[in-house]
Amino acid sequence: MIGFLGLRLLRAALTIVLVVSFAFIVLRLSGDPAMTIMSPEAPPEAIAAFRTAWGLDRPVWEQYFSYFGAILQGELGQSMRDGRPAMAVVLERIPATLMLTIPALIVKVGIGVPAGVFAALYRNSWIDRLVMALAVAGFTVPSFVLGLILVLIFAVSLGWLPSGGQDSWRNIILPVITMSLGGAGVLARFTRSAMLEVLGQPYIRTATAKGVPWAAVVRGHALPNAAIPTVTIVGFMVGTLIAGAVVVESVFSWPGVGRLLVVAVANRDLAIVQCILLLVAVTMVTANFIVDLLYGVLDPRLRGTASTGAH
Amino acid sequence: MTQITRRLALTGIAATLPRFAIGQSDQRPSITVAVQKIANTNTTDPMREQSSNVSERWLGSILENLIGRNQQGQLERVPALATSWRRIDATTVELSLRPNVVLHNGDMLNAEDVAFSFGSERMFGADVPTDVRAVAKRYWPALERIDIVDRATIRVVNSKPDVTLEGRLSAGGGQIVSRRSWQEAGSWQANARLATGSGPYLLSSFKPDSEMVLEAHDQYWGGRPPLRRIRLLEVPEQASRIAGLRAGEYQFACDISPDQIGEIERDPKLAVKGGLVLNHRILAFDKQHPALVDPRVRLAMAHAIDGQAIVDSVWAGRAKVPAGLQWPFYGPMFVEGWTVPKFDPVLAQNLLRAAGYKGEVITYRARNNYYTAEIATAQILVEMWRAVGLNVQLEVKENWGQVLDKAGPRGVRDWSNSPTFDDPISSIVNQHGPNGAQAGNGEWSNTEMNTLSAALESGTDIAERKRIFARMLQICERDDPAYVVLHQNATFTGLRRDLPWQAPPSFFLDFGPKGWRA
Amino acid sequence: MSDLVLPARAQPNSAARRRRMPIAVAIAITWLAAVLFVAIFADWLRPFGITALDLRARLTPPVGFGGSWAHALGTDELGRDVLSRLLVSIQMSLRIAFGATIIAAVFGTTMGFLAAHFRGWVEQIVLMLIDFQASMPFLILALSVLAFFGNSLLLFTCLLGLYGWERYARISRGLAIAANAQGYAAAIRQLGAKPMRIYLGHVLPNIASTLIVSATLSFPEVVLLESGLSFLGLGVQPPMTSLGNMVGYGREYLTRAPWILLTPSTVIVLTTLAVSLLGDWLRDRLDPTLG
Repeated sequence: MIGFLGLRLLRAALTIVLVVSFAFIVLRLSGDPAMTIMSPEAPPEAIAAFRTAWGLDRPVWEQYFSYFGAILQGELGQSMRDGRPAMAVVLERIPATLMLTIPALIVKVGIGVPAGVFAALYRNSWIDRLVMALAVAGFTVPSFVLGLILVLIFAVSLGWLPSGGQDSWRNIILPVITMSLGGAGVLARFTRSAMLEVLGQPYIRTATAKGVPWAAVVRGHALPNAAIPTVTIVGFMVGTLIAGAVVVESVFSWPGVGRLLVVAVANRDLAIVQCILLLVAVTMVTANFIVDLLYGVLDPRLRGTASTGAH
Repeated sequence: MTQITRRLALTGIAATLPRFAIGQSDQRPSITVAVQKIANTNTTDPMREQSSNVSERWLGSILENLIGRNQQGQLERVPALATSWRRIDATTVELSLRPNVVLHNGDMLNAEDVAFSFGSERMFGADVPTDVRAVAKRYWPALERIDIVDRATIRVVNSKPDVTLEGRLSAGGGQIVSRRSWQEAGSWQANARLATGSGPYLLSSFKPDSEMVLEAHDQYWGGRPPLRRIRLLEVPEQASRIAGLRAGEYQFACDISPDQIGEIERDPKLAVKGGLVLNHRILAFDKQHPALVDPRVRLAMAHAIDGQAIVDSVWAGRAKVPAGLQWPFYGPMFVEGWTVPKFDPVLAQNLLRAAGYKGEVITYRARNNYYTAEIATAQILVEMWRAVGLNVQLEVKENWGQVLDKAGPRGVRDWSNSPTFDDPISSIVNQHGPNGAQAGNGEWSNTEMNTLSAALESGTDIAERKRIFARMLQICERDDPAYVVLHQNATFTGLRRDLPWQAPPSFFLDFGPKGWRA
Repeated sequence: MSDLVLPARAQPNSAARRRRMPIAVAIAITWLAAVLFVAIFADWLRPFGITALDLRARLTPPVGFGGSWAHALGTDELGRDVLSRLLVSIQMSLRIAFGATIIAAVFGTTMGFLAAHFRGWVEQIVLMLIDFQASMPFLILALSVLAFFGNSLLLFTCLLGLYGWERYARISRGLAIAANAQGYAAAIRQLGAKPMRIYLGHVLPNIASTLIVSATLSFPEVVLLESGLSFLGLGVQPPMTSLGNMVGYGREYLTRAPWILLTPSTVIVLTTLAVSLLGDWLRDRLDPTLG
């Protein structure tokens, strides 16, 4: 177990190094923060001064190593836009993002998983057809189109809900619906598929043949086994909680991490982008780790697999 | 966080309930204004926010200049924190300060505040970030000192003759701040997101990229501000701004594209105000591009463009093809009779033939709707050029660094030009002169233009300066085209029809006593 | 004559019932065939060029809503023919979506099998790449392609192919490990079969159903991702057009000229629905364990 954990930690560390390096290279080589933040109308001396102040005039490799050196000392840098500590800027936005992403995840799982299970249990019935049609409809409309249409209906025409902003709990309803419909559809389809797979397995038939009640078979055998692919997808969704929803946050003018990321990337504000990526990577790695542990719980056959690499 | 949210929830409810809020004694309305962006740099500092029409929307509500601009007229100079001014000599302007101006911190404005606002702690000193110093240097290239004559009189002393001092005093970089508040906050950095001035509204809170709240400054020298509170909300999507306006959540929605005007005004409760602003959309050439070395090809590109067709379609007729790179508020410096190259496809074809153009690819770099209707305009232009035989390839770029990237062929690109004050120095020299961005990027420069720029800067005789400026237009728009002026830009604001707001001829949202007449 | 046939038809065996194609699937296949036809012959079918504009005929509505047959689906904000642009957009989006889905499926499944087969450090590297992919917001990946390689369709397709490969990898790894642990793979291995044969011939069919569902999910996801990137200005760039590009630029006109946005959206929804229906049906047919 300790070897397993050590390996996971090593892999996580390498992943984060890879993410940070990649982002560094892309952001540094694909645009000039001085030009973007100050605009090309700014005096050339001001742009030169900006570059010197942020070390942008040094060779890229030198910037890279000094950046990593700083990170290792826990120095995550400042925003080039206003000089504030980058991590503080990012952390300030996280509650707003979680206010959307956590309810959205709950709705996705709460609707998607039961819908998929029911569709599988009543395969080829009208319930199945209806659930699957809704599931497909859920994820085929681009989220900004869905968001704008929901706003037109519920905010403009009916006046029931606010169109955007962050003033009260009513503001989260439309963005959460917009975010969850697609995810619920994806989960419903995966769950249904996994359930059907399991229901067709010989041990289910054996159990049924032995006279175990159907409900018990479903609860005891089908559900845990079918949970594996579903848990994988949910794990992935948990990993994206921090990064938020770039498009939905823009449509609903929600000041979360997703919008911060868009603005920071557009400005090539490296320190901010890197802080977001670090948080996303840590969440993602943690979520994957938990998923792997869940695999072991759900399916004893997979229990040893994750640690196999250790020997 | 919860506490902040709860507070916001309350203010939000106040803003969405009947506008004329139920304040105990204060019957003035509070409004919510949806803007596309609040600030480019997340600061409230005019030097950091230079060349940004984004912060122009609110900055004037908080900070004021000695010399103002008439937002109800044509932006001509009017008394503001100075009641009068006079020339002492070619390098000196004397100003009489307005008495009894109460600043946001309760202090009375005095000459020390003015001197401090142009001083080393705020603009030129070692503790100010180097980029801010460089911007200040452009605003005040030869400012020597501010002399305090007495409590109510100051003199601005330049080291070189400069006829534009009064213009510069009325522009960005001329805002007056409270010395005491600034020094109490400490460093430049500590002040970057504060702004204590004299305007009709004071900065109450600023959440970067999200929200800014301004409160009435009841001791304002120009009269009691008509609004109790102004809340600027950052709503990046235009469709969302319009939806919020229609739903009654916002009283104002800024940055409305011309195509949406009719759509908004279909609702009898709503109106769209606004119009031309001090900004010309231009195309900038890279004359090193092999196909563009011959100035006749560049001139042909100008003659191939039907600017009026663009104005009539994309701008619903509400923009304008101007008289070249100049604005009426130049007054005596305005060159009468000058026009942009007229739309003449045959002339364009003849020029191309004479220049020996054989269909070489000319790249055209644009950004994704950085300017209003930029992509639509770009696609129209490509078709207009195609019609005369120009092979122009549109490349959509993601940021300025990519637009200006020297690797790969640069041909023509999108740009705009704003005069920061009422003299060509602030516009044509600023962008196309020897120290301008176009020369700095290695796109275009012209020896005669460079000589003329120096002469215009140091010249004091109006007739001579006007002659120089006319020659500059001839060089930059005909003889050796540096750019093509497409059209003057316009800005549109959607609002509740019953609100008595007057749209100024600028990006500024004037909610002061003069801009809001009940 | 029909009387003679009827009794035989009335009692089909269960296998025949399973093989018979439901009407919905038949419609789905027809739709997909039509879309494919459009994609192949778009340049012959379109009545106008996609950049040909007419500034005097901007935002004219489709036939039946006040428009004329000259522009059957109306015109856009530059007076360009929406039908022509739609046809070419279908071609473009289909190329991208098919290309990207195939790249993702092949690459992801291969990585998953490699991890499941070799285990050890190979598996660790694959898992690290999966974590990397999942942790890197797609915005940044898209940005890098647009910034470094410009508006190249091929590279854009490869980029979208990167999207979702990690899902195939995770699923195929998990399922292949499970399959390996199950009796049949071990039995075949003992019979001396080569690993390649085991994975392609035996493990793949056993997990094909899940992978097909994955593919039918990721096909629409790629189309949607492309429209999401268009929303952020990082998708297919003008003067090229695609379904996502049309939806992205059309959103400004949702109330004024809804046809610009609704026609490509409808094609996206119908195509996705058809792909999903077909996927479900194939899944049922391919899975030998379903009775």
